[in-house]
Amino acid sequence: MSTAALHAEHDSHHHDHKESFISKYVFSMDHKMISRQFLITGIIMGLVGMGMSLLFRLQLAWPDEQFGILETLLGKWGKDGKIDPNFYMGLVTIHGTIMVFYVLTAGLSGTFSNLLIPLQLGARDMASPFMNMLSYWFFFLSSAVLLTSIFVETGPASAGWTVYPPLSALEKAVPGSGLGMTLWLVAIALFIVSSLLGGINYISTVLNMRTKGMSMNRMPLTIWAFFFTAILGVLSFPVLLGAALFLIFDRSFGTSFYLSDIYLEGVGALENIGGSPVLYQHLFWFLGHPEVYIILMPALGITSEVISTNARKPIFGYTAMIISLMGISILSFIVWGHHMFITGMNPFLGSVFMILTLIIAVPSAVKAFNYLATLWRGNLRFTPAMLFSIGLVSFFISGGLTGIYLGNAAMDIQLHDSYFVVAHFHLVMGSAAIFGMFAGIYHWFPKMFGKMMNNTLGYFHFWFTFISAYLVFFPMHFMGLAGVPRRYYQFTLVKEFDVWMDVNKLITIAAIMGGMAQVFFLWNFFYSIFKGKKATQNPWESNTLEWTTPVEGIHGNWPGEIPTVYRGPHEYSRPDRESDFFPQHLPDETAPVTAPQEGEQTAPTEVVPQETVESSVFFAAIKRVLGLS
Amino acid sequence: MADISKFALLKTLFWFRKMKLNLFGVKSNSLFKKTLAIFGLMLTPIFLLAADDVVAPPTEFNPMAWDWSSILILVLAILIILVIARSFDIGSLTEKITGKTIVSWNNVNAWAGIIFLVVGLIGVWYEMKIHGKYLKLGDSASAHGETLDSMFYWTFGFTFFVFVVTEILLFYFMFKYKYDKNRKAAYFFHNNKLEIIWTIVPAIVLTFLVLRGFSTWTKITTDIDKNSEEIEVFAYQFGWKARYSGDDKQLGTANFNFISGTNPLGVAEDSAVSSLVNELNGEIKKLEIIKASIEDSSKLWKAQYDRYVSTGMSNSYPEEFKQMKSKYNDLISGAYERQLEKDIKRKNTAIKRIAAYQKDHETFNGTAKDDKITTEIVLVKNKPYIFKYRARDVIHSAYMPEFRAQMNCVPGMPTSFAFTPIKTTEEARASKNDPEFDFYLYCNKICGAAHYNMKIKITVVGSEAEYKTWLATQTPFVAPPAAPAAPTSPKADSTAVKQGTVVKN
Amino acid sequence: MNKKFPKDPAFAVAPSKFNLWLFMLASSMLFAAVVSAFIVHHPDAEKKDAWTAFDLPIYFLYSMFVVVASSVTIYYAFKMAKKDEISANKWLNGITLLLGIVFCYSQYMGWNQLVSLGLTFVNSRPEDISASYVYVITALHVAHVLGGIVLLTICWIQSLRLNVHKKNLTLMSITHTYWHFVGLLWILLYLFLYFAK
Repeated sequence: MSTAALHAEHDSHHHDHKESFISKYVFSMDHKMISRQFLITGIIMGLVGMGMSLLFRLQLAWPDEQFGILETLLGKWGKDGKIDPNFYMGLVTIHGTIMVFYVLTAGLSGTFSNLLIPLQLGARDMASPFMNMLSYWFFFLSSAVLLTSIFVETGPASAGWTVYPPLSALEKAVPGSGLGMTLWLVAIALFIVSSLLGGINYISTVLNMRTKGMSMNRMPLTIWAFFFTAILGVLSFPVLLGAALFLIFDRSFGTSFYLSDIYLEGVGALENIGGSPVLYQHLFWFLGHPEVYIILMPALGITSEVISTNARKPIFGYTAMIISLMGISILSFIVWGHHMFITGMNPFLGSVFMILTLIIAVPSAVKAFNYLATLWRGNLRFTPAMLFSIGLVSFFISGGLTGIYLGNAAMDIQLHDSYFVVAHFHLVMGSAAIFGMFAGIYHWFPKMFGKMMNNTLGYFHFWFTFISAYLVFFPMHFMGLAGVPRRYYQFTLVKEFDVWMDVNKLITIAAIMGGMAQVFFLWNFFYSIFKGKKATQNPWESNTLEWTTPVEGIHGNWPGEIPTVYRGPHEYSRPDRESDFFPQHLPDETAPVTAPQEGEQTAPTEVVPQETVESSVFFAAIKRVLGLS
Repeated sequence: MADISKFALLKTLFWFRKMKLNLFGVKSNSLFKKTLAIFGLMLTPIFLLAADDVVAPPTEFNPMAWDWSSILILVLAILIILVIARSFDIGSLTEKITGKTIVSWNNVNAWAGIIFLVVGLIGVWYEMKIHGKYLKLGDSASAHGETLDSMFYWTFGFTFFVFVVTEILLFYFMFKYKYDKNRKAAYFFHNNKLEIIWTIVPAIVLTFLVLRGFSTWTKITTDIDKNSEEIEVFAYQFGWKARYSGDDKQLGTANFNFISGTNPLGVAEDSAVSSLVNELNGEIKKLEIIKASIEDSSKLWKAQYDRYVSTGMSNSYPEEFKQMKSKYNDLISGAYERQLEKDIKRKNTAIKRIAAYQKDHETFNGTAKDDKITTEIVLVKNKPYIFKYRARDVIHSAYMPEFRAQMNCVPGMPTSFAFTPIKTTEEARASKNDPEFDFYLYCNKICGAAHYNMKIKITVVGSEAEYKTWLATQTPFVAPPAAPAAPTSPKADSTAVKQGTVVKN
Repeated sequence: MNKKFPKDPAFAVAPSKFNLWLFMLASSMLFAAVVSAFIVHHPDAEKKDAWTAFDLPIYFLYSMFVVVASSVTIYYAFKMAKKDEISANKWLNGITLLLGIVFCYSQYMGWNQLVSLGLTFVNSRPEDISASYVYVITALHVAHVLGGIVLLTICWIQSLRLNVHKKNLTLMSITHTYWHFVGLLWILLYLFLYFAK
């Protein structure tokens, strides 16, 4: 069906559109329903992932204690109330996989790309609703397979979420590399299909289905972020598919792409020869590094939108934000080697990767400063979404700065695979992205479910989560600097590491607190879905197009014609307007003398306040901050 | 294992029914109910997928053995949270009814931000004070480590400054610009000067850091003393072994095909390798006998199996029956035979490969005879070393935090790391004020169940003499012959350059 | 009024066609990954000759000719469809489909030839691992061709039902683009494998 025909149909039929249960809730092709499906699956996967992290934190904090409940829960993996070392590895692996792929890639980008791309761009639906539906169901299948892998007799995959061969290729090396690993690979292959279907759709929609007046430079930053994310995904996930394919061949057919010169205890010298385990790492990290930005960029996009809306202020440096997103995206493809400094790679290659890696710090710094400048002299409304966005900025700064240590090849010799790495990526990519996701949920909940969430609970959720996240991850920097390796089952056998026992306990208690804090969220989320206050049309007084659609969310999004866009998305607090926002779809009351041209800053120059053109604005800013003026 | 699927199914059904009861009469719940229903449907296949031999059977259902106190505490904690949540709900309801603002959440959050900032910064300071003393910074036991530490301090200075300033700004802005309905936010989009400043300044600082990092990295990885002594460090699941070259100052070649019980590192030494070949031939013969008698044994197993079924022992000894059944199935389906064939083929390949090497005098040049395989590493202070890493089975990582050294050990890809220890163990003990302190080399790449306990002790001694005494106590691979080693041919000399590298086919 | 808005690019390209381009981009990345793995794979830097130590089967070359021929036929099929020459389109579609099947057969014969050289998918000599790569690369490509054959079949059936004509070109044009893509891919892969020696 051509898109035009689709539109015509929607325009005439949307009111009496009666759908069966299955086509409305299960195999739905409506992007809003698909985004709900992604979100709720993501939340469930997130709970599983978080539960796993609590389990292994328990082991790290009280390695000698026996928890009877663990035996009840885990059966043979929790013999005598202690987690089995092999299962510990499995927990670490599946926690990482779930969080990176299922929660922060599909749950975050899948949810909000699906929800916001059509709504904020003024499209009736995605370019291909059918592919969109397939994307969700592949994701669902993949989640089901991964969850099943936890229950197999030999345990889930346990070679770390990066599943480096030969460990992941040899069943005899670790029990998790048997059926568990096979299921892991199947799950990831399905996930890649899902993510490609989704990504292709997002790009296609962004490029082809914008409403009248929605030129690229009037797109909200969320859309820019989703757009770049989708491009990264389409370019990098096939490479992971290649890597996984080789691994599958090595495991199931006995080829030697990654295997060479291996002798296994109890088996003898293996026949496999000629391969290279490091090849897998190259292929994996060619995806793996962009994947980090696939996770982070949607969160940054959401934050830009939420901060701008709730600061009642245009986002500072819209163009700079886009350029830095673009810079990060491009650079992310050529820095994968910084995960492999100590694999014995050519030292010169290492230097090149180091230089490229540290260049990423510049666009990232620009983004952080731009967020700060957006807050400066704003009029901040602390909705839960806003708080989570501010939390994201805080994590992004504190986690991003430690990237400067790790990107430095020389310092990486000491810090590689230590707790410093754990602290770094949990702050900058884990916590920051999760906070972006929470910000998105709180902000667009009214759009997703037509109900409001409870703000007070949101505040509690935020402060408990924020504090506990810092308590969990900040002390890990110190452990890492002291040379404590990650993925250790317990530290009691090494005196050097045993001195950190009190810190480990603190971290675990904080983690449990953080886990408990999610009860606020879960209660709030599920309770509000059916008993929340009915949402108003534009609860946050936002500029973007999604708030012009009916609250109940109809198929085809807009009952009548799709609104036309007249300006950029961030025109808050315009001095020439009574109210402090100016929705994109409202035409100017006083038509400007010259219409804004494409590629030009959409703000009319005459309304720029004095301060911004002042020559010594930087010092003025400092003075103002210090209260001197 | 049908019972777990059944259990799951019953549970799901029960849940569905309960759901209906709970939600009955709630008007706006249709969406919610259906979303839940979708998830019920989504979860069912997971349980159904968990088919027979896949799922670990649950241990016997014995609630008395459960840790009820923990469960109660958990439940209580959740209840308390919910009660708090509920009370705030009521609070907001009161606000709505009375029309008065009880709490201005905007102010509360702004203040909370400030409090968080202050407490957080105090926490950072406290953390540095308390845990700073455990950090290994500035206490490097290797020469290059000191450069790394100084670089760390530079980076730390820069990042910590940025960290404190930006976090203060963030929370200060949060406080200063909290919502006021009488105020309007500033309206500006960008400021080129400001943006250029905060692009250029980080760029300059990073250039400085990059240049330092570049020179340090290049120095560590490429500037290697030609006179360094080579020690082979061998990683396996789950431990380390070291190999010192003996009197000839040459590490003998080694290959994974030569590894056997008596030759754990697989060094190229004639007698050990020939005995391995014999061993392999013996194993092949044994396997072939088993293969030949496979028909008889499957009959035997069938008889056993039938007896279990007919006498009802299959019910009373389910574990044994299960094992027997799987073995019997393997025999019947031919899986067992295929496995045997595979093993025989693998062993034959190994013999073939070894035979190819045995013809090659570069490999078997006799330098391995006097190599000493040790279970600890002893180094001499201020003497340059190259650690040559090999891994037997999976990737390991040789991590020596005290020496600021780390390198992956990859099967099939020899790696190395060069460094010079500058502190003896005794000195380190004195400076750390810990008489029991020792240097260790840890594994730092996930490698299996005992990854956390894979380490080897490193002792740094002050003088060559101490080292010699220790080395003399270690036995060489082959007990030294009466006569000195034969003079090496020019061909062997040329291989000496590549000494210690792993031979490939 | 029109002047006020920048040119609206909405619906410039049919979504299915655009998605196909993106899919081809993703596929290219997959092949790029596999091929670069092949390029960097030598297990031992000292043994440069451990790359491909065998001649490619002649059938792979025949496949290339088949691919070129089928590209020509589908090009004319598309052209005919655009001109509403329905019966010519029908025949050309059928021939292309046949050539596609011949291509797959030829690749299969190529694998047979490799096997007869003693180069199977699983090998126990380090230099023979390049054969494993050749199998992976060709098999991945054949998988793509099979996708193309499915498209061609649908297209052919539609053309038999007289559903492919000037006003209903989407399917034809997608098939056309995709078939050129797999054809070009094989030519590039063959040249790469040929010169990789």
